[in-house]
Amino acid sequence: MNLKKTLLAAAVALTATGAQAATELTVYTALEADQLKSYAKAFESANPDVKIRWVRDSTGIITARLLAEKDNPQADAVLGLAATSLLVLKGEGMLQPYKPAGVEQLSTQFVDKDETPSWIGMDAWVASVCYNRIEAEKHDLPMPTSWKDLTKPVYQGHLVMPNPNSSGTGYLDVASWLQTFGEEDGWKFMDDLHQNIDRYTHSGSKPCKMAAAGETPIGISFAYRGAKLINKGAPIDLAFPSEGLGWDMEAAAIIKGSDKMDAAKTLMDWAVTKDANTLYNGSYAVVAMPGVAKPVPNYPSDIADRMIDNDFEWAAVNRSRILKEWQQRYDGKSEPKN
Amino acid sequence: MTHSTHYLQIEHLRKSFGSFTALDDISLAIKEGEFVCFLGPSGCGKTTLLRAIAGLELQEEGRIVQSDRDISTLPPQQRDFGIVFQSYALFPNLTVSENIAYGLANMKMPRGERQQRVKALLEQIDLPDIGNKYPGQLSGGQQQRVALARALATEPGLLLLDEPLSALDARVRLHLRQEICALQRKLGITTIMVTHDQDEALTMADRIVVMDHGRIAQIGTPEEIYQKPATEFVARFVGSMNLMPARVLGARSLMLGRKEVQTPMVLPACDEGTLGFRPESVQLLDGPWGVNRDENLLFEARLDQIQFMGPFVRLEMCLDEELPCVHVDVAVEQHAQLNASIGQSLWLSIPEKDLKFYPAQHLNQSKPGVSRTAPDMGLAAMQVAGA
Amino acid sequence: MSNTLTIAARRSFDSESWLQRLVISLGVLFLLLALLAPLLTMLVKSLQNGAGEFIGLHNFIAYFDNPALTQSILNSITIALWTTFIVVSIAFVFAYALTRSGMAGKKTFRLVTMLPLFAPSLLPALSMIYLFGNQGILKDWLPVESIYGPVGIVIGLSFWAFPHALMILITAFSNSDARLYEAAKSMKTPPWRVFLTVTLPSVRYGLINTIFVIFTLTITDFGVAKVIGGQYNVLATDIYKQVVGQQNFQMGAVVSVVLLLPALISFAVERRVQRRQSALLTSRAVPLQPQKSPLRDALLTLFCALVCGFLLLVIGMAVYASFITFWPYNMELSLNNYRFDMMDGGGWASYFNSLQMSAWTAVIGTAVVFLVAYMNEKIKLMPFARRLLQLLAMLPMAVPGIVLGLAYIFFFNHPDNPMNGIYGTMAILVLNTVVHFYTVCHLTATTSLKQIDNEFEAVSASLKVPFYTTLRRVTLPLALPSVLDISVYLFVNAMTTVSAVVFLYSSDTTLASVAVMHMDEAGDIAPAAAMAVLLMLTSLVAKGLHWMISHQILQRTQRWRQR
Ligand SMILES: Nc1ncnc2c1ncn2[C@@H]1O[C@H](COP(=O)(O)OP(=O)(O)O)[C@@H](O)[C@H]1O
Ligand SMILES: [Mg+2]
Repeated sequence: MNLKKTLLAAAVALTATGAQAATELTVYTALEADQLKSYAKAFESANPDVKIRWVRDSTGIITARLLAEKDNPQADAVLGLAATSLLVLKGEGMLQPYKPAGVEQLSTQFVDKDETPSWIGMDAWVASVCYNRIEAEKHDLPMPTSWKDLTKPVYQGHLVMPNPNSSGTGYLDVASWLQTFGEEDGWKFMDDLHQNIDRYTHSGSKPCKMAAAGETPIGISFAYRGAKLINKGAPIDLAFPSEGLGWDMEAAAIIKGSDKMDAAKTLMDWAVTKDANTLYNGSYAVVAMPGVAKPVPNYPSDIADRMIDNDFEWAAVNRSRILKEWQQRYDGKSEPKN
Repeated sequence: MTHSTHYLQIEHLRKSFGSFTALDDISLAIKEGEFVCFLGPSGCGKTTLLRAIAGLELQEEGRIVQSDRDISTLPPQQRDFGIVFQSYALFPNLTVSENIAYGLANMKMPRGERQQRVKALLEQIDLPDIGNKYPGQLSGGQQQRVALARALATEPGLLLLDEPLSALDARVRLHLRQEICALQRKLGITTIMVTHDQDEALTMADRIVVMDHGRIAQIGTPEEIYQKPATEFVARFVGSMNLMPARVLGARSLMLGRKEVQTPMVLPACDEGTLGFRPESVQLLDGPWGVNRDENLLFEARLDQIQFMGPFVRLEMCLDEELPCVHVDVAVEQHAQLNASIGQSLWLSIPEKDLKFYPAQHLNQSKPGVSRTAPDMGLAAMQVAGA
Repeated sequence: MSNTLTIAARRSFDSESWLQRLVISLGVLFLLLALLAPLLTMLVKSLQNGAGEFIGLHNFIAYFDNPALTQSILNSITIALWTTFIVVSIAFVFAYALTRSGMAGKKTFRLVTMLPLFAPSLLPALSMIYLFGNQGILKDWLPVESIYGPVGIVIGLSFWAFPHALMILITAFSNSDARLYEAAKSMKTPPWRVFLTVTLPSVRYGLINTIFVIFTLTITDFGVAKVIGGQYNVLATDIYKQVVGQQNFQMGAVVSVVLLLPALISFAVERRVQRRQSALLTSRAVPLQPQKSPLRDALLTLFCALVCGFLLLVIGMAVYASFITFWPYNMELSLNNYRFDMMDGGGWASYFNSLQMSAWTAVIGTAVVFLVAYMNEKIKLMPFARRLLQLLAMLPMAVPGIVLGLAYIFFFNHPDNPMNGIYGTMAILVLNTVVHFYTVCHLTATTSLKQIDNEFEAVSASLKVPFYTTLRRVTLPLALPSVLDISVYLFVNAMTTVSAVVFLYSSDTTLASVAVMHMDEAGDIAPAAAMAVLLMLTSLVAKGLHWMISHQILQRTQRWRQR
């Protein structure tokens, strides 16, 4: 009798899963390629009826794609895109406000200020400088301790940084300098820095990878990438300039007009859970839910103290103006060294 | 609708390519079983006319009736003809048998019967053993016959041949002329052949249609065409003909160059024209004696050159610096008897029946350039055309 | 004309010719929708603002007011001129050596020079990093300070464009007339005068043609400049930056229009020259038998060996680097870089997507191209439509891949477009790739169809066999070698192309060639090289298969070709 019941229940369960095939959720992301698998796995094991279909590219491209597809959206949700970008999307009215269950447990600065938030933050990633010991020694380059250090003539032609137009890291650097130094001094600083820059790269992790490969002695990048590369055995150290580190949030949101609203909401609900935050902590030291963070190997534990007081609203509202100005000043210059 | 005795009737056909008129008011009737040649210099519209009959070109005006059926607007698939192209257009990747059977497959003919028919056709063209070869392995003459067999396989009522012999060398060409004629007679199939080779037309055709600039210049039996060329163009194109510009002085009097001559025939009322006679119709004399000037044209000319041509000797004679040379063909023995030497003056006598006079024509009928494409034309004709 | 119409209208119903009309119309419709409409949409976009309102030339004025952007025009032209000069000079001597000298080992040289055709254009650029980058093995040989910039672009492009130039020049050199040389020799003309008065004029059109082809190829290239260009911006990378970095689609459209111009001009000139070249070919010439001349041949052998050595060095470097664990600090060999699943760009799935996309492109593209070329060449109906078809078929050659890709976004992602369902699918990638490489395929098909007797269709009509039967039984088998050529050309190019598809892939349809670019963008240069090497290998395997098919199977089924 008992056995019969169990069998029956199993049969019902089987037909149930068979009948309602997993919803496929298209999620645009700028997360690093090596994070995607574990994120999808964690989410899907918690929510077996939803499958994630990632569309991954760097921050600028994903933002561009979302904007391009504004009239004919392809994405259901966004997970792991810079908050400044999500604020731009919000300004375009492309985000579907939703209040995930349990969102109250996140630090308030990680959640959109609206009554029903349009986006929620996941973690923060933080600027830092990757410094190749071997190459630096060859060229007699001291370890920089401040952003201002990087404008010294000794570094001429030895710096690489991400292009803010395509890279979220690049933009958070520029936005943070403008906030820390003030608009005028910020541009002045970048003018000087530009004299030393060898190349602006497309992605935020490339400068650090280049430093790790000795292609450049110093790359302006972000801390997580540096920590990973150190763990891989690259001869690099991380430098944290004393003026404070720019940072941005990775955030998640639902795209307005998605026809898989329920599944998208499930994803948002998952993104604020403790489990998810624990997962974020695998790569980032600062996560949205207080008290979850544990130290990441080769990642400074005091990083939260070094982060600047970032004004996302300002960074988002001024994004297009800043990028345009930046492009006009630095992008067209074919030979950065003269 | 009246019943006609003609198998194929073409009425007032017109066709142009852009502003160029390729066929201009062509009317023509062909009897059942007849072998007709379209003859003319290249570019005169022979192929276009043939293709219009086949439905491969669509005329702008006019009617085509084939065995009492108006086929003017039918696509080629719905007409009844077999065609052999200049290039033969044999399918190189199919064997000879497959080529011949190509149209049979469509007729729902049983397999055995089809093979039987292919075999019979191969025998008919005297090539019984080549069924398994590919066209590339055959000689030109063999390919030509295979193309013929393929065209005949479906037993069409009308056979169209577009310069079928022009790609062959001289010896094979002569042989195949006979073969095609024999086959045509045997099958009794109405046949139209396009050619620019007057010998081919003269030897093969029951009737010849001479074409010039998209128009019909003359229709007639080979004898009629050769002996009574209706226009200067036909005269020039068929056989070789001495043609001399002449001014009409009176009813029987002409100015040839700087000399006045008396003609046996009455001249039409006009100012200028062309006098024509064939090189073989001339009799050479030592002096003007004993010739009836009422029946013969007589004039003196200087012998300039002697060309040995095999069966006869061609003498190039000069009447006057202003006039083109005159060709005179004489048999070898006669030439030996004559024993003429270069520079000597001789008298030329041409009987009235061999003389043609063409009054000066409308400009468009004697455009220069026509003669250039006709290979067998005499030197005199060329010079006339160029003048 | 009106008469034709009335007679044509009276023509009795004929299902076959209506089928032919239908196919021709479909061909025209295909090229209108997949080529012209997207380009026109793009043109319209360049005259609109972000909100889609018409603003006239405002975008263009903004563009030309921005020296940072207009600098790229100059850069693009500089790069294209230098590359054209280098490639054409080297290819000229090389082609001369292959066709006119008594040099040994010509086959081997020829084979080596074909190799770049099978590599994505990103491969030489990645190789440059390992050869001349800051950790490059030959860094000290580099005369300039950094490979990242114009020098790198020019070297990379030269590698990639070389076989294209060589192919045209070999044809040009092969077409010369031995009788002229004999005449010159009999008049005791010194060799240098023979060169100036006979050799040069006979290859003149081929040379001009090569110059324009290479100029077009290099001014529109995207991949090389993207990887090795550093801060040196060119038009093609500007389009990419405007679109992906600035989200400025209108400006992307403007730059596209600007890039389209020089390409269109040089394309038009090239077509004109091409026409004269073919006129030259019809003359009756006696082929030239190369003579031996020890000193000249030795010098030419040295030259060819150097050029081939360089090509092999570039390829070899990429292959070698792809097996290095962690350049330059851990030079142990390993397969780590082939673990694409840990990298950007979609991992191994991209590779299989690429295979699938290339296979579809080869199959569908060959079918479409051949059918359209057949209708255009052999069916005499609808002259106006066929003339339009011919024009449209030539156009893709002048449209840079990146421009076509952007145009596709505008057209196929438009919400009002009923075809927007294909956006983000494999179908749009296949469609785009077929159109992108349409012209060369069309020309190949047309050339081979021209060699087939024009009367086959008339013969089959007279035998009452439908044209499609003759197409299947005769025309297609006759054209089979070129059909195979087209399919392998499409396969290889679909495998290696980046520029057009970079805007069009989706997460389900990531492509290996784009993955190469993404891995490079992310700084994973060794895995990028690994993927590029893998793509080249795949293309070579495809070519090998093609070779086997055309030499084994064709020999059996095409017995008739033997005389
Ligand atoms: N398809 C065509 N388009 C334009 N002109 C043509 C075409 N076919 C034939 N012609 C022209 O029509 C004239 C007659 O051609 P055709 O009938 O082939 O002459 P032929 O008497 O040599 O067979 C020629 O001047 C030729 O150039
Ligand atoms: Mg003809």
